Amino acid sequence: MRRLLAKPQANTSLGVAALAPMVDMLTILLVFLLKSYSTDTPVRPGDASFELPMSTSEQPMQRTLAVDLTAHGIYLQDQRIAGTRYYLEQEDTLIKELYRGLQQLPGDRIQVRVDADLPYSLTRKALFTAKQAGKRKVTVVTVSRSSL
Amino acid sequence: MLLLMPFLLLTTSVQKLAGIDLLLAGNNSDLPPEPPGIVEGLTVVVHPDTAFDISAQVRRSDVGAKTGETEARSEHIPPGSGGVDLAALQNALRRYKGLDPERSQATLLPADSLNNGQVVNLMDAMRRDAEGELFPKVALGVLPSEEPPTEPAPVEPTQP
Repeated sequence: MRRLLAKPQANTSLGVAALAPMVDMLTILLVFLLKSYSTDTPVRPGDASFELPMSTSEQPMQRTLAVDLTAHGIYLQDQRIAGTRYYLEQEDTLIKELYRGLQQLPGDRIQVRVDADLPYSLTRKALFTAKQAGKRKVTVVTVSRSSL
Repeated sequence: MLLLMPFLLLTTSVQKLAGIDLLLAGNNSDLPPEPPGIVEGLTVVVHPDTAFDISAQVRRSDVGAKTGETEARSEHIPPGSGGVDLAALQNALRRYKGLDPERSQATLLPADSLNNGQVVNLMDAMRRDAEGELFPKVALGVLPSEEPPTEPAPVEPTQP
């Protein structure tokens, strides 16, 4: 009982020795977190099969009109407008539904968010369609390799 | 520090998004003009088997050449043992960059069968190598055999 109530002996040298590596580790972790800090919202969080391509680019994204090309469909501003399979199989270079949708929206800048595993042919058709609809400034959205 | 750490851990996103601005090449395209230099046109064709054909118009600099006269140079890079030979592509592009350091634009014509991940990797390889910047403005185009013969008639927009 006496031992339990006794005040613990302060071992200051041991405390300092244990604190230093912890501060080092926290500093390293803090630098790592600050370097990779991002507040970008996930793209298509409900679609588990959707994966953006990886890139070494560090150019930050701006919020603009978004065109998504996924394995399940073609989306404009998160609204499904056409099926993917049809335009993968067809020779048409113009995605008519996308063309109509883009023409009704103002601005000449869009961002294209493509699934990394989809064939480039569909992306080519979407880019051609965007150009025909007057959207000349196109940005492809990728995941930076410096992500967590 | 102990306050900042939980804040960062709670608010940071796993994915850091980055953009690549595209120049669109193809039928009736108007790519922005490059300042006149030694290399006047640089195109990388990627075949379905990931072999590359690099073609460039390089100004002749010999005494007998007329003003503005160019010669066509081309190079074929077969696919490497593990697939795409990005190192060979970057070496070739580095040589053209050495000829014309001011040039920043190149055109990439990927085969339709490649996937988007491969195309983005190729664009990254064309934009920068281990030695530094190569051609940061990459224009995407269509392989001549796959190019649409005519521009499709515009579709009448429907009223909302």
